[in-house]
Amino acid sequence: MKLAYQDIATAAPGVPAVVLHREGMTSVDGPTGVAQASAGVGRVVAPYGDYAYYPSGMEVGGICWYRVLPGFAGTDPISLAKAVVQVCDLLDDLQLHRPVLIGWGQGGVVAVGAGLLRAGQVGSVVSVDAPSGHFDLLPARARAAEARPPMLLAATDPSGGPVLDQQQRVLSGGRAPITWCCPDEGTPDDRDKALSARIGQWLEGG
Amino acid sequence: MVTRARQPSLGERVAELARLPHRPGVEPSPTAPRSRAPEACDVVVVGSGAAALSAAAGALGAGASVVVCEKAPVHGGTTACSGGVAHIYGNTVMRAAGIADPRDQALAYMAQVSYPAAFDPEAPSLGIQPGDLALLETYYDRGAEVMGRLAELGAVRMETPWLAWDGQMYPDYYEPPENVAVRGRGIQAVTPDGGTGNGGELVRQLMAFAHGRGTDVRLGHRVVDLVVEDGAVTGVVVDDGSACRTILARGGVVFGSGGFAHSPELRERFLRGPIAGGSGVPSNTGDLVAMGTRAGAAFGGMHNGWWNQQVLEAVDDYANSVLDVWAVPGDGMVLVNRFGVRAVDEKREYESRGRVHHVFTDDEYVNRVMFMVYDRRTAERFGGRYPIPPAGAVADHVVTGVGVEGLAQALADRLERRSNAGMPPGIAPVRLSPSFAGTLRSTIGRFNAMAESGRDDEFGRGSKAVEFAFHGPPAQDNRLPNCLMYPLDLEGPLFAISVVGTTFDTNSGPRLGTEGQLLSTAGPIGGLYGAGNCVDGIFGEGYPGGGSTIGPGMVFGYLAGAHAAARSPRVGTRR
Repeated sequence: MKLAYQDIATAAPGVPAVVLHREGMTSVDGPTGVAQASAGVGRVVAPYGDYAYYPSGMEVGGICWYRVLPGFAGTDPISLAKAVVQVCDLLDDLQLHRPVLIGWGQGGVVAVGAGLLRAGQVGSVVSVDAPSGHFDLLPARARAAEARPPMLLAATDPSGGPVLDQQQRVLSGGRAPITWCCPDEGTPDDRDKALSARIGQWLEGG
Repeated sequence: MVTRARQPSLGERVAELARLPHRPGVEPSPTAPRSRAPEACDVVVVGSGAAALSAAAGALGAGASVVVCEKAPVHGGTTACSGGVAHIYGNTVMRAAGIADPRDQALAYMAQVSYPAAFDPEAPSLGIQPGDLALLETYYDRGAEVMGRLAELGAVRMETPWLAWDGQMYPDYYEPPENVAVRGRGIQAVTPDGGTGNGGELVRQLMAFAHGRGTDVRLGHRVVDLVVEDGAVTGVVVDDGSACRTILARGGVVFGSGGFAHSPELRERFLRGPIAGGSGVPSNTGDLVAMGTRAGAAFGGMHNGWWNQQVLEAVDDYANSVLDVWAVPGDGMVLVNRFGVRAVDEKREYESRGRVHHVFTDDEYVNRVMFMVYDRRTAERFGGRYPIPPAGAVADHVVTGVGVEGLAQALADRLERRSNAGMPPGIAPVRLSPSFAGTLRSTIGRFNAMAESGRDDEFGRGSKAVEFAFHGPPAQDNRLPNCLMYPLDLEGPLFAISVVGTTFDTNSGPRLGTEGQLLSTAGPIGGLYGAGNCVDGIFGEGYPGGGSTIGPGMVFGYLAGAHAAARSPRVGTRR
């Protein structure tokens, strides 16, 4: 099934952004707001993952991009591949010009996967707070891609450096991603503002 | 005649990208050279869902060594995508709550729901086959016992009630005459912190137990054949993606490998009616059917499944439980067929709604595709509850039009395109009847009047306890006598989502003995066992309540594992 999405058009010129929410979301307002606050971002398209997120029991705690099992093997790589294909399909359908893919949590992993498979179509990729180890589960064809868009691996936790270093190593083939940790703890709003500023700077080539 | 070119489905493209080792169309691996003696264990378990892992627990509890072979790249099977509910009679939760579950009434309920055409409370064996009744009796008598044994072993504690949104225990799905819906038969795993565990947690605990007892769990390992000596099963041939190797099983082989919902060929051969597939894991391709046939198994009803609905556009996806229409959300909503006619109480649980797609009348399967029609108010108030998309979202699976005529035109265009592009395997192309718009207007007109009065004279919407559990919290602006109904605005924007009949999985396969043995026409096949959706389900064509899939899978899985272990000379000697 094609992904449902919010399409927030803007009169302001800028790079179109495809925003992939974090797992457990019921709304895409938060990530959409961060993207809109980033200098240089124009139209924002925010799809919804189509897996239910179960924090416990039968209580659906929102939606997510792929299926994670508690304990042991953990993550279903087929469902991750499906999310990557769905986002690639969305890019094909919308024909956005060199969009930036910005993903949080699981959405960051999917953004990187789609960016690797659509390197010629995607302008750049920003992955924020992606779960440790999940880039290893991306389809081999994506991980082996030689042509790669510029990638920024970000952490809103100031102590997220070691995780980013590990992720950078996994994605080290071809053009190496750069990393960024939010410099201060601050409030969630402060961190979002810092992230928006960094994304704006990134889109300007910095 | 021009043959239509078919585009690869999303699921096929995903399987290709993920390089699934055992995806359809991939040749089996060559047989490994016999350079060394085959490995051996006491019990081989095939699959890694609740049935399979309960079998492993049963075998491990008896002191056996176990190898688990799972062909998917991730463990857990369909259980791991589910709520992890087990339907158990007289369970600890019911006892603690003071809910009685008398044996005679429970057996009558199971027999009536499972075999409604044959059930007769005054007849010997309640009118059903004695062997079928024996399985139901075993299930009643040993279900709670097995749950207790799993808890004693430290494998999993199924001791928390399955609760609905309002804090009440879920009721059973059927209320046959003279029976009120019993609550409390659905139970879930207790998490380490005392909370409620879903299917992922159930699998995690069973897997932790298996790992803790030294079980070898092999992912990406597909069992492709049985080793049979003197009529008894003594091992399996496993394709690990590079070679086929033999594993000998001193006690037996227990299948918990899922049904055949994802095999279009087996669906077409055995199921009656338009069935689009399943929302269980895509590895449910019916591997036991061919192997059981070669081993001489006697097959039970091959026409049964756990019926369900899915959005037409979603059936080709890699499946997951969120992609089934578990509940049809909304109060101002009707489900109609291509003639614009309602065919079912829309607020019933998935099983009852799924069955309505199988109706053949007027020379066709009139309900093979149905349309969930709702208005803007419902779109806004119930947005985000699948399959209604979040408010304001662009969603390809939703067709929109202004007024009944506008919607009918948009829907006709969509169906034309979809039929030309190719329907899912098992579903014939469908077009709206020329009378659709007029009939839909009448249907909604009658529905609106019934909504005002609170009484659905056509399908009794709102008359069963289970409907309120599935509907969830009522819309706050609905102050009508029946909160499951609300008039639709016929002149404003209307929306339609196409749904087709599907399954969680099938539950058809070799016949089962009371210890989980698979049967031939002459009796149990030595060393061959099964549980869960790969065998002839004990509930026949019924679905007594939430957990009817996992409950029998766990109970007969455990019994099978323990019985197989006892057949191993090594375990027998130790005992």
